[in-house]
Amino acid sequence: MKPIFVRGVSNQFRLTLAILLSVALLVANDRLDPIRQSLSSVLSPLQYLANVPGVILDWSAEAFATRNMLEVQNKELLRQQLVMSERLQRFEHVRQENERLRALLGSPVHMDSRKVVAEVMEVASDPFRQFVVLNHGSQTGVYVGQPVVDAQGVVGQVIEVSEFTSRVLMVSDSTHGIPVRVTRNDVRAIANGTGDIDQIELRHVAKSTDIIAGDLLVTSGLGNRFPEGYPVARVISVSRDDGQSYAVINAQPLAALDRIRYVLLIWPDETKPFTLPANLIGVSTEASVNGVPQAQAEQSQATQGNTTPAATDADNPAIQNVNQALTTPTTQSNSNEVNR
Amino acid sequence: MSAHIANGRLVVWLTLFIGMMFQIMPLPTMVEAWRPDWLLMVLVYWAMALPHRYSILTAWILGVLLDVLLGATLGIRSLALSLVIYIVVLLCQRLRNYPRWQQSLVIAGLICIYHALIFWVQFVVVGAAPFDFSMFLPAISSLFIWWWVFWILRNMRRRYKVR
Repeated sequence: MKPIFVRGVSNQFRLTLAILLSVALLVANDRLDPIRQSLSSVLSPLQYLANVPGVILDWSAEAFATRNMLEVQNKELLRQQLVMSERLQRFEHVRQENERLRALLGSPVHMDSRKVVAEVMEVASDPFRQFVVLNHGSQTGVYVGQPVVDAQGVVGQVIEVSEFTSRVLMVSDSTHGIPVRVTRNDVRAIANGTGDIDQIELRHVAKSTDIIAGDLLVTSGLGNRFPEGYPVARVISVSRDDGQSYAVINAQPLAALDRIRYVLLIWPDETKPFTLPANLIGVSTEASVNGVPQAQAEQSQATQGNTTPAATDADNPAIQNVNQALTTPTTQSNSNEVNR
Repeated sequence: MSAHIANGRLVVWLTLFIGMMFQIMPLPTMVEAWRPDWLLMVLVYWAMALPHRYSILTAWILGVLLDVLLGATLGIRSLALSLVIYIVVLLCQRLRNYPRWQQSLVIAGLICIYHALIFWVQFVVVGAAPFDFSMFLPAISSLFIWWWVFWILRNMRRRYKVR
């Protein structure tokens, strides 16, 4: 027999307690990060479990794909791969040229950073916030503030890390801002999220600033959070209303924020050995000298005749001298960085 | 007797965690806005059936866990859930005797209150967000799903003799 009138603490007391505790949590929210982190580590199995139906759906879609579909997909991928590898050949050449020119100018060489592909496990079901949860956490070395990109552009940054998952705030969230630069004329601005998934805005931009619809915005590298040069958004409208103090500029994020599945986590500070300039620049150029002309030789063989592109820096003693001369200044600049 | 209680507790917490799992399950963007409030419905059921065992503080704890899972400011959902469950506890004698359709209307109303509370606290804590009626869409989907949730949970309660 269940008692109708239960002795013990009254419901009013429980409610008051619950409200007081909630308010305490709301107030202390910023100092509770360790608790939140350990709680979300404990709860991460639940997230993995909640992700299972999606994984099964994906798997069955793959398992039951028809031969025809796979053939079409394969053909398309082959075509893309061909186009990409052609572009990559040119890119490799340009990259080395750029590195050498930058070294000549004494500015630090751009580095290739460590990247990890992560899968989106969960999308915010909160209509006011925009973030996704990834399947990598502090075990992989993910840290708060880490930049996240996808194939098209910048997705956002990590705001919370647990043992096996991490939460990424997307550029379109209303609390997110990212320093950008217009590729056409290097105008700097800050792009703020609007809370609308396919729109971000540039605030406090003077009306006389030269920004037009269609401009590409890339990360400027200022603020030391996002590495320089990743595409962020394309300007879709600029209005210079006399009633407003600033121009109203709207842009559309290039990353497909509403349908991302795989993203790249980037470690801008961890570099791959082949771009380490100190002492290694000689070695790395040797490696590239050995590597690239081979590729180009193959290319020239394939194209039959036209051997001029093969005559790169390996045959050019002047450039090699420059390379050796460069070893010292870059070492200096690097040691400066370390000292800083 | 104690084995029964332990058993019952396991069943209740299992259903609550399954509700939570449905709450955070990834859905296509189109359906996302219509996601029923599973956890709230499960909590409402247990608070209605066993108000002396699972009520406001249970709701508070699950609210904190849900906030952690959703990455929201801690305390938002715990506040909203405990207030809603308080209302349920006050109404539980009446709610039990309502016909099913009337119950689901009350649930829809509770879900509206829940979302309005979340919006309000978020507005105060995080900052301005546009008011959007689409945040009440879960009330409509929950209206139809309550019937099934109630049916499943009542069967489980009877089967495992949760008291």
